[in-house]
Amino acid sequence: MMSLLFSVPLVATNTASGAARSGMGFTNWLVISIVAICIIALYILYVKLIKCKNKTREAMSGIDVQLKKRYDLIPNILSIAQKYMEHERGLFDEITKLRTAAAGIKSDANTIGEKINLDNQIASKMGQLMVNVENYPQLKADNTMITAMQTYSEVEEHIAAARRFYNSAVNELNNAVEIFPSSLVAAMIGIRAYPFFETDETSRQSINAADYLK
Amino acid sequence: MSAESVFDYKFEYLHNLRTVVIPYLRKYESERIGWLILSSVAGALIFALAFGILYWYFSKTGQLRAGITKLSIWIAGGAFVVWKSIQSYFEYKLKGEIMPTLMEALPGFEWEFEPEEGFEQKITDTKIFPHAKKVKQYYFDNFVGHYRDVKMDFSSGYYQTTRFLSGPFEFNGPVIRIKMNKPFMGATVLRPNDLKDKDCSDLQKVGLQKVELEDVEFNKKFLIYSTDQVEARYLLTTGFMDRFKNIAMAYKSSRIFCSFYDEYLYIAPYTKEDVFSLFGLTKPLTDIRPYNIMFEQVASVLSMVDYLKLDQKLGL
Repeated sequence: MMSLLFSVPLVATNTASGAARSGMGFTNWLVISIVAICIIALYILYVKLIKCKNKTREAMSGIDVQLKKRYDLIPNILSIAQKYMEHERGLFDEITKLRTAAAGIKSDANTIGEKINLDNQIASKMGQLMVNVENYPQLKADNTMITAMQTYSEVEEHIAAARRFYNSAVNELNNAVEIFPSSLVAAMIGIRAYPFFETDETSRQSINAADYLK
Repeated sequence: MSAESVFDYKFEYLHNLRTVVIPYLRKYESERIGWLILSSVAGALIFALAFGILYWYFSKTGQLRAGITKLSIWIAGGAFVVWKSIQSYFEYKLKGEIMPTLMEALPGFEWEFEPEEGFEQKITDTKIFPHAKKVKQYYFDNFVGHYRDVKMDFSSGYYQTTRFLSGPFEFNGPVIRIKMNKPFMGATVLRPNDLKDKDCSDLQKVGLQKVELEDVEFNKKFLIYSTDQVEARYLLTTGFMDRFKNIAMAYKSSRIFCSFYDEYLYIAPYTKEDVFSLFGLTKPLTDIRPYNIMFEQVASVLSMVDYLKLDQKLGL
């Protein structure tokens, strides 16, 4: 009788502790699952950011390749033009200075802004040179100059294409860096937004035909 | 002689059509009517004869109603096949006689029954269509020539593959090839977006990367793959995309394919029919509407040459 009296509380205690153990087990699994999902999500965001960063770097090096072709072509164009355009010495010196400065910059996240700025200035000065060539019929008819201008035009088209690729890659990267929750991961691993390749202010201004008809 | 613009070209085309081609086609009009009567009479005779024989047979066996009902459709089908065969023969015969003269309306172009040898392999190499181990393709009705010193040819084509885990792919329509007078590297391929990425696995296998352009509407309509991201953007400018969509509209095609490969631009609008099938037993040969439709389709391609200055070594 006495043993029966003691066994009932004992059975009750065993059942209660069993229930508590299974409850704790479920909670543990729940916590582990949540932690695992968070880790996987963080990893996916990390991989996405690294892919975006690498794609931006690939696009940047694509621009460098095309810009190198331009930098190599500019001295050839200037040497042909100098034979005829003696009064444009100032313009040639400016272009040479800008070209030397731009060619000496290695593209990375810190210098890309400066490189874009110099590249825009070179494009503007070369555009001015091409317009001034129109005032020299002998130069315009020179076969070497015609070939050089055609090649330059193709290089400019490739630079424009490389810029489009760069801007597309930067757009993807900047979206990942600035939008939550990947922005948290980006801040943790030190990935920041890149600048877009934008045209300079003078190119954006509308053209006044009267300036060309003086 | 090469016209300076599509407008000049159209003027020359209409003049040649009116003064050379239509008078030549009038000579064949009576032949067409003769063949139409012959094919109709032959079809009717075959139907009447077969029907008569079977009517006599089934009336003897006592199964008249059941037998005739079932076989009437077969007999009618057989008569239609005879009529259609005569029409095809007539078209083929006329094509060989008329097409060279019709091509005189298009200055700078001449017509051949088939494209050059090795054309099928070239189409396979461009990867313009999804490729699988089993491919069935043939091309015919090639007209080749120059417009503003840009070499181009137009062929009718049929291409079919059977793909593992996907339904069969079929293309039926013109294949246009334009010589690019400016250099480009590698290969860039455009396929309609209804194909899905898994149908472009043949491109991924040879190392082409997927390209996402800035034009959202264009990206929704086409899958773009290229050996180089920059080269793809160099070729696929806004001007090109606009002209490309115009060609699709001119051919009334909802699915159009394109490939830049080995100095050539290939464009293939899916049309389900032979766009150069201009002659038929039931259509008067001197009806200029089919010829004008054909010209508008060709003009959409010539406009691309004009707008993109493919005759000059300048940018796209």
